[in-house]
Amino acid sequence: MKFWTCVPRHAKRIVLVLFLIGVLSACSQRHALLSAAGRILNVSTPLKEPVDCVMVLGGWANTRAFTAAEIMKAGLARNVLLARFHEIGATRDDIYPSEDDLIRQVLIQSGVSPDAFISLDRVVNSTQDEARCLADFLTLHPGVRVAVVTSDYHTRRARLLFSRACSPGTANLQYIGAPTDGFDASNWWQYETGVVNYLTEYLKLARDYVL
Amino acid sequence: MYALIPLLGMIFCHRYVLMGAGAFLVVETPTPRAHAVVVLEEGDGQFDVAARLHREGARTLLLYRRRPNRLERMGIVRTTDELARLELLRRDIPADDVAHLPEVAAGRLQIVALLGEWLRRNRDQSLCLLCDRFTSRTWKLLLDRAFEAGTRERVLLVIAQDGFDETNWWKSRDGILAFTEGCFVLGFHVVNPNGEPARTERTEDAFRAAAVAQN
Repeated sequence: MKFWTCVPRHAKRIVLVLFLIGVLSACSQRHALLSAAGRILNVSTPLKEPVDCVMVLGGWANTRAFTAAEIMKAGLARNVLLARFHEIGATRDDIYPSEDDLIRQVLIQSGVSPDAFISLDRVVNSTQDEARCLADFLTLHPGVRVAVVTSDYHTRRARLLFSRACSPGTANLQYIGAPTDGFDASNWWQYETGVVNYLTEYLKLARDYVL
Repeated sequence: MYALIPLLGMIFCHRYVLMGAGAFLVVETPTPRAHAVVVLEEGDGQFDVAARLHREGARTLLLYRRRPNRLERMGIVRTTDELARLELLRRDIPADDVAHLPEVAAGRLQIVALLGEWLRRNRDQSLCLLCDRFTSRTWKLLLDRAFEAGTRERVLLVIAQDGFDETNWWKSRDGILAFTEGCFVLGFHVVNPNGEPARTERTEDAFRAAAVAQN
């Protein structure tokens, strides 16, 4: 505060004008800024070369499993790694299929052989758990190349967590971003689900960088 | 030196600040009595409260329909209204007491519009809306915007979510996620009074392009 009182009046005015210019240009360029913020979260690249396995992360099976199915259909992977997902109430009562069952059914209906699935033992309830689950698998099967399929805006955080957990096998991991229905980096702020998912992802990313 | 005062205040009073932030997002009618109950969001708590209100006198349980998504069209999962119906039947609600809102709703604004239509057709009836704790303020905002004074009093908001409340939400992962989601959803609807544009579903080609590099 003392520093600010020592600043000459004309300098304060310049700072104020620069601040206002900054705010106005941010407002006028908000679409470009928001798009850029959306793109930062996406570090995925489509597969160019075959991998050994595909691992579909939990949630958004409505899009992630279909993206994994395309990899399998293109013959770019032989196996699908499936973790066991933590069950919710409706799953326990057989009203709703479990997440792993959901992914399995989508892939089988898309033409993937039931023999292609490898079930992983660990029960998972977060991306962190899934990273540890893959790390366990890679310890037993070193050198296996895996394509990790998740939503496009989730790939940066997935890469961070999987790189930490699966080191030194990180070079064998590739991240594939499944597009979400309705929104992407270019328009996420126009949709309620887009706002919730992208902003929550930023908070989680900050938490995972710090912790 | 003065800058330390708010910092120290946050350290010693963070519990009250967090409670206040949580309480800001919560709106509830203390003793709800209504003719019909609407299950707005999913979760075991919603159906338990719906069954309780039915036992206490609400005769109709209203569900809304959504456009079936890819998994529902493939028959891998049941539609959300079918799931809700099953959950209510499991709680001994007679099938005849479960009804659907007439049209398909694509978002909160459309649900509110359908509820308004229902209230116009049933002028002597009131509605009890079951919602999540931290989205209740958003529902209140949307209802206040959509309904006139006479209609507004016929809609009651009831929170049906277990596990945490505004006094302890920051102690659990689910609570933190629900609070942040509540903030973002409210912010979205404050900034976007007209809601969101229509959503388009991704095609098989879009999934292929994302998964496999094209030559």
